[in-house]
Amino acid sequence: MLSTATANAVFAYALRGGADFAELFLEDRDDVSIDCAERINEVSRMRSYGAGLYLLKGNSGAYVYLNDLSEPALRRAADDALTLMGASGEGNGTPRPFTVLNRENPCPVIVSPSEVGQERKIALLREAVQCAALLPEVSRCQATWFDRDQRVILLNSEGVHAEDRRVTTRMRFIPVVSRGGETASSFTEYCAAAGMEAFENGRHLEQLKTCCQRLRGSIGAPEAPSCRVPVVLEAGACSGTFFHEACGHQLETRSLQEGGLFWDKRGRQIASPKVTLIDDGTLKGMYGSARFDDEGMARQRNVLIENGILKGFMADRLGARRLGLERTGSGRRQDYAHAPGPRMSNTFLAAGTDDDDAMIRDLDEGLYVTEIGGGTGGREFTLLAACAYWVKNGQIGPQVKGAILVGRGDETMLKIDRVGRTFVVEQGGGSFCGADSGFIPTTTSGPRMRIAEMVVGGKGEKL
Amino acid sequence: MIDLTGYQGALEHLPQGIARAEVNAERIRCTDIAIRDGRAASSVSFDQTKFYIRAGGERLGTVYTERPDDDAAALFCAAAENARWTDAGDTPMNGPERSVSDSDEGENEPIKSMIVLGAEAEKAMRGADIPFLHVRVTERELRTVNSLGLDSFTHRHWADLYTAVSLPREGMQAAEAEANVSACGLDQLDPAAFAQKALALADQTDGGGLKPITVSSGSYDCVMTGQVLRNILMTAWRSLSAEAMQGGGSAFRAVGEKIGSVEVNLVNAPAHPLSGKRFPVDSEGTPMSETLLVEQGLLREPLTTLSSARKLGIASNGCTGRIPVMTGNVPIALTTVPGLFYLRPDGRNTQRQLIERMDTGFVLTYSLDLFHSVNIASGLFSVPCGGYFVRHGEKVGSVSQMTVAGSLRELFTAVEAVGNDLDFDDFYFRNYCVGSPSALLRNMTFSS
Repeated sequence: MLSTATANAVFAYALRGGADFAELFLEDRDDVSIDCAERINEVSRMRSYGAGLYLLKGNSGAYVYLNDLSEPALRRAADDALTLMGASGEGNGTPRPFTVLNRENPCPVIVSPSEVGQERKIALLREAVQCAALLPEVSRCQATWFDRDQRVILLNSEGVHAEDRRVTTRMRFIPVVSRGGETASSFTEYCAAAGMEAFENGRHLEQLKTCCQRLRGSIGAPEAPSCRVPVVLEAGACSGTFFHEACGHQLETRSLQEGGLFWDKRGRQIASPKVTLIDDGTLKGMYGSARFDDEGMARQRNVLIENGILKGFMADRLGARRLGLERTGSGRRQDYAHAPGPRMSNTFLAAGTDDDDAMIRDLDEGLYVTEIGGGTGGREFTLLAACAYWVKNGQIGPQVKGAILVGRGDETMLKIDRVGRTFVVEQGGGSFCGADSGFIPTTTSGPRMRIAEMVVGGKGEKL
Repeated sequence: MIDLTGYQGALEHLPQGIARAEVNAERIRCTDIAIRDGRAASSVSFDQTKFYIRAGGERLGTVYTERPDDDAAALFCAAAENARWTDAGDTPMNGPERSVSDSDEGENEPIKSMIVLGAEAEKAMRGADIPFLHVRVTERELRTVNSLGLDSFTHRHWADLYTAVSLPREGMQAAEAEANVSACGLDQLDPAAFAQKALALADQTDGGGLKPITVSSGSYDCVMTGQVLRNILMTAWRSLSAEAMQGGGSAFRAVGEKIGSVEVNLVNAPAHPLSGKRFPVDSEGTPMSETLLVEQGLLREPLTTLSSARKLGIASNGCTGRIPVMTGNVPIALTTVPGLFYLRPDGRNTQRQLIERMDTGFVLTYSLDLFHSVNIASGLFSVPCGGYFVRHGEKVGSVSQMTVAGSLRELFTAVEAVGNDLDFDDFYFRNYCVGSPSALLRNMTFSS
């Protein structure tokens, strides 16, 4: 995409101009998407190609991105960035020689999607649509294929030269289930940091079937009551997503700079002693893993909370500078059109010691959530309970619909009274997290857990 | 103007086997500066052109590139190859009669002016915590050419200020709000007025520093401020798209259907005096027309694209665009996207008058989770929210961690009066805006 000599010249120019750090993120990416319902609606190919030039001077940063990767264009970008930073033009730094960083790819690909024709992908889509059509009460199913081949080169004035190739495949299903004039629809995605081999074991079809079953259960189901009750979150993505929204974003340096909930809480108890929370971008085959973060630092395992005590944050380069923290391999971005920011990768609650079944059995009344449909983080966080059941006298009762959970992270994490023994990795392989640096692949996992009390928003009467 | 010379040449001599082709190019130049302590703390700047190419026969395939030097004929062939796999029916295209050329006279704003303006706004908010404050200038060119002879071009400039403000409260949670304002140029932004607006919004969040109270779950009247209604409408507009209605993906079914009270008038427009954003032409090259979608609670005309309008036997009102899904994928498929979609204000009612008329109930000043809380297909919503409680016209205490739930039809039907305080917010991806004033609603379901 660009010679290291050109990069070196641009860095030297930027450092002479007053920057104290310069970085180029180069990206050449191919995406394919195929949309299928009763027929193949659309087949599309996308080529994204560009570079982001990131300059820092003290605690100031400027990011300029462009599609023209010629040296004159990159120098003009450097001029723009220096102007934006108000740099003096009297810098005296020189870039260090590049050293190529090598690291094992945690997500090796066996059959690259770019090496197979569209027929194979279309066949997978048709198989999924036919699978859905055979399920009871499914009136329609839209299935969409996505594959991505992202080639990335990261060079910086500290001599880092990191290259990565990230291949992902994904199928999205939107089934429509109908019964007696009532219709329910939702979507589910099967994501893999892998090639075509991810679709050989039929797990994507199992996921589609589970989604259809959940939708069937929601038809005619009572509305969730509006109440404050104990909430059990199922093992896997449910408990992991709880932490992603309740505290994950608040532990990123971006939130800390904006006066987030936890900046002055390191070393103090912020959650129940049953909680140990980890973010790890090195896990093999996981959707949130990669060799390097998008600032050329090797991914690592970050313990965020240990036995309820806040241990660490997630820091990108600029956030670490501003807050006097160590970087944590958490600088991530969607693509060259986004400046890097502090982000999660694979976030999980460690297994606890409580009996998984007893936390429901011991419940007089409460909500048991088996699928989270998304959420938002912040001082107050929300979780959409895509599939939930009402529990009464220790028995799992009817499926309820329309429940949304609301709370403050710093209050709710202290109310966790059970953490189960059985750790479960997120089914479906992962999802996307959106924030300032774009949409990035993440996973959330954990054992079953219970919160002593949460606000459940719904429209129904008491059950 | 975006240079499409290479494409135009290829359109005149389409490669063999290709009956028609279209290029939709969008160039955005933008500088966004975060201000802290009167200086640029961080900034993002770009000049990017995106090319969406459709080609084929009756069926069209699509390719996308960001490289201006890519070979046009080769891209047409690649798009046509994609069309080979599709079973979709005939896709309409605009002809030369829809061509427009429309450019405003704006100029690139000097960076120094942006920083000065942001610093003035920051200074005017002294005493408040400011998690972020940004000044942004944007220039957007959109050009669509096709083999039928269409050549539509528009060029617009605008400037924004956006911020988050946090007001410390003694012994209580800080009062926080986000605010934005846009205008057709930097010189039309008033930093002092913007600061006043942001501070007022933050102060209003907890009713001016009221102590927290808990109100039991149940049915209450409420005044939803513009922020809360905009959050709901940010996704609810989809239920008024002809595409969603035709595909069974909307809670509403047909023109003429009663979906709300007589106070509900919903409009889609290419421009509005209260916003700097303008959407004169859509991504199929159709000029966007100002459309009264819902009049006094009756659905008059949905948002349409060329395809969905053809099914209704009417002309498109120019609402074709691309909506990025929440995954970072380049949005390729043409779909329905509004311009400035808003609930029409009623000049007779201030927000204060609405609250007085309510007498007892909630004033909802903020809401969360605009992406997950409204189900367009069913119309059901459960929106996390907060604000303060009023009893017999008197503020009683602040409330948080609540939800308001119902269906869109119930929401629109519950509207008893609409305020005069219309304001607009950008959608996350900045490709459309949603506006709403405050409104008084009766008998909504709350949990707390």
